[in-house]
Amino acid sequence: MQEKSIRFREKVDGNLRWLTITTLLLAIGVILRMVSPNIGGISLNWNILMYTMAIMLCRPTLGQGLGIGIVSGLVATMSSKAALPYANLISDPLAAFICAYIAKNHFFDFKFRKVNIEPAVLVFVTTFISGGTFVFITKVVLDIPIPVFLFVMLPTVLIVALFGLAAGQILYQPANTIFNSNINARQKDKYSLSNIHLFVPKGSFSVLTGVNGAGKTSLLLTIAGARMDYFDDIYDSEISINNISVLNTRQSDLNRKVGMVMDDYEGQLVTETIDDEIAFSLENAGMSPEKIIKRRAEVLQMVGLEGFEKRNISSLSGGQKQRLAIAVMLAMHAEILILDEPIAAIDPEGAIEIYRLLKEINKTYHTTILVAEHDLKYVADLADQLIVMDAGEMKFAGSVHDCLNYMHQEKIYPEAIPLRWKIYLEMGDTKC
Amino acid sequence: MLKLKDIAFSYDRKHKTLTDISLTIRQGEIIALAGRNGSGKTTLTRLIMGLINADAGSIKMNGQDVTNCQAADMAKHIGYVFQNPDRQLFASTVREEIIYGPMQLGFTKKEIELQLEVVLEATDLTAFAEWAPQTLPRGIKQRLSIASALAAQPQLLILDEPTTGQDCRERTKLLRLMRKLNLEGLTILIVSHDMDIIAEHAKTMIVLENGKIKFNGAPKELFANEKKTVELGLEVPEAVRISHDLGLDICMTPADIYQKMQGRRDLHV
Repeated sequence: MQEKSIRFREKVDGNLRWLTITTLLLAIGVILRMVSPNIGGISLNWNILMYTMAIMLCRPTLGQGLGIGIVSGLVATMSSKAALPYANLISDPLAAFICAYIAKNHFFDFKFRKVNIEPAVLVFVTTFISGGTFVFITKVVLDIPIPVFLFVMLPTVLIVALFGLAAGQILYQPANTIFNSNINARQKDKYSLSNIHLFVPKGSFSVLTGVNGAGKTSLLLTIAGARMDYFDDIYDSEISINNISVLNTRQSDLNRKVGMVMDDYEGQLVTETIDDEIAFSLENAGMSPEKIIKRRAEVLQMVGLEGFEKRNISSLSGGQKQRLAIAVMLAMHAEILILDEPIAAIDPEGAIEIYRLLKEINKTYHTTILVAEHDLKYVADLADQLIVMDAGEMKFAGSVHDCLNYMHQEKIYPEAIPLRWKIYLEMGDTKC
Repeated sequence: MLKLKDIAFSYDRKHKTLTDISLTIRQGEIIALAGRNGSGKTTLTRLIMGLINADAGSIKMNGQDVTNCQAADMAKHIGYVFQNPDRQLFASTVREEIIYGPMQLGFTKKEIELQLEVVLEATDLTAFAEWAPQTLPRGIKQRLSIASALAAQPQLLILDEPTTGQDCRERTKLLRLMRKLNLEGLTILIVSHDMDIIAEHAKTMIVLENGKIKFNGAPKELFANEKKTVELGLEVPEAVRISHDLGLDICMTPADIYQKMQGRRDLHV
């Protein structure tokens, strides 16, 4: 997988939330424009400030951003006292479109001395683009001399943009508290992911760890393409696995390549017998009966369940059920196998067997395997890569040695470091 | 405190689930029950709880015969915490969940209030008193199950696979709580597949196989014999394995290993 910063934001208050907030802020902008004082004939452009704030609060699509710009341009045209008010119909849509693009991709979403300065920078940039375009059109249409344009009009735009910079930084936080309190609270919950920087090579065996609630399952679901419709995910770039661009691939296409076994794997088993369970998925995929029988025999052998075909699923042990769930995924020719805490409810003998099987599948069939796991003693010798997450963020991804060392040094989920490694890392000179 | 003698039990009269079970649980100890799936561990705990009655043999609690006592009688003395906390949580708030047991056992209002306060504090759940149990994370639900069991002031607490499905942080917290309760005098019977927990915390260990006791003694005694441990379907604890690899005397806990390694270093210096 390549780069990656994914954020989830729930669609709260319906799909027209962005429209409501924008309308309200633009109306406030018009009122403030009429009543606010000016300094030396220069005043803050409330119109631009308000639509920039609306874009930051809602992170709309580019189309919605353009729409916000057009409405704002109309409002400005009607209320402007400038020599060429119609220039607003070009300058505002252009600036709002660029602003929406920047906001959506979080280009300026960074901190300076622990303060997020995105509002200041974004208001400054948007005002400068809008104002610059406006005065350029005015210069061209009204044939204003170049010195006036360069030494009067552009510096004025710069000063207005600086006013906007200060006002944006001051007003954004209260506005965010008023309009996004619901979202902000929810973003702290288990669905929130950020700073994901992960590369899972094809045919590798990767393990994801972190305390419950760290975001492991959310990340696995994202990679499996099982994002819920009620999430409006904002992401800086794309996740791809085995050269598949996850976020740009249809879910039905992903399902053919990614197989996921949930922690509650029993919930995935829906028929009575082992035979039926595997045939069920293949039949739904449109496979002919002859091919189903052939493929079923192949995968049952792969997971060591040959001879159990007629067994009732309810009579199987936890480990056998887990094997069956894996077999169903393999039957569908999954190139990538994702398992969420596969041994959580299995005894130690079963746990060792499950991981032995997964490694065998990984080696023999070059299936890419990604597992979420707490008990690292079972996987420390198997994994090509270990990834640790904490509070929705990916903290480290690397070799088992490097990752455990990081967890030990940075005290990120140190409880999960297997005893053997803990002693090695603490005593340093001892080979365990 | 609890004595089982020659207990036998069968669900269908054809296959014996438990045979010749004789064991003693002493006051204030942590005793572990281990064995493969299907070896009879759950049946034995159900029997101790009075949920089923033995076909043969006797059970004595504090010298009194309780062989044919029912679950309602045994609940006054024994608390049971299920592997899956969802199976035993049903009230609408943590507070109601905790006081349910004492109310059923006829505690007075004053006693109930006192118990509520004591167990909320002991299990570090005071902040969650008004929460709905089903909305709690798994680790906290498990602590609530323990709190509910403790509220009835049992003499013996049975923990069935208490760390299943927990992350390592919650696991550590839970074991610390178990240790604290034991130091305060509570007798604990822990059913677990996790030999690291047994090696570190249990004083006595009982291993079942096919419904019979195959081992009853100090965990160290069994784990020193790797062949026998594996034959019984158990894992050798990490600390034991590592101490063996490092050529140290058998260590049952990580702390033992550090201590012995430090000692060896000091010797070399």
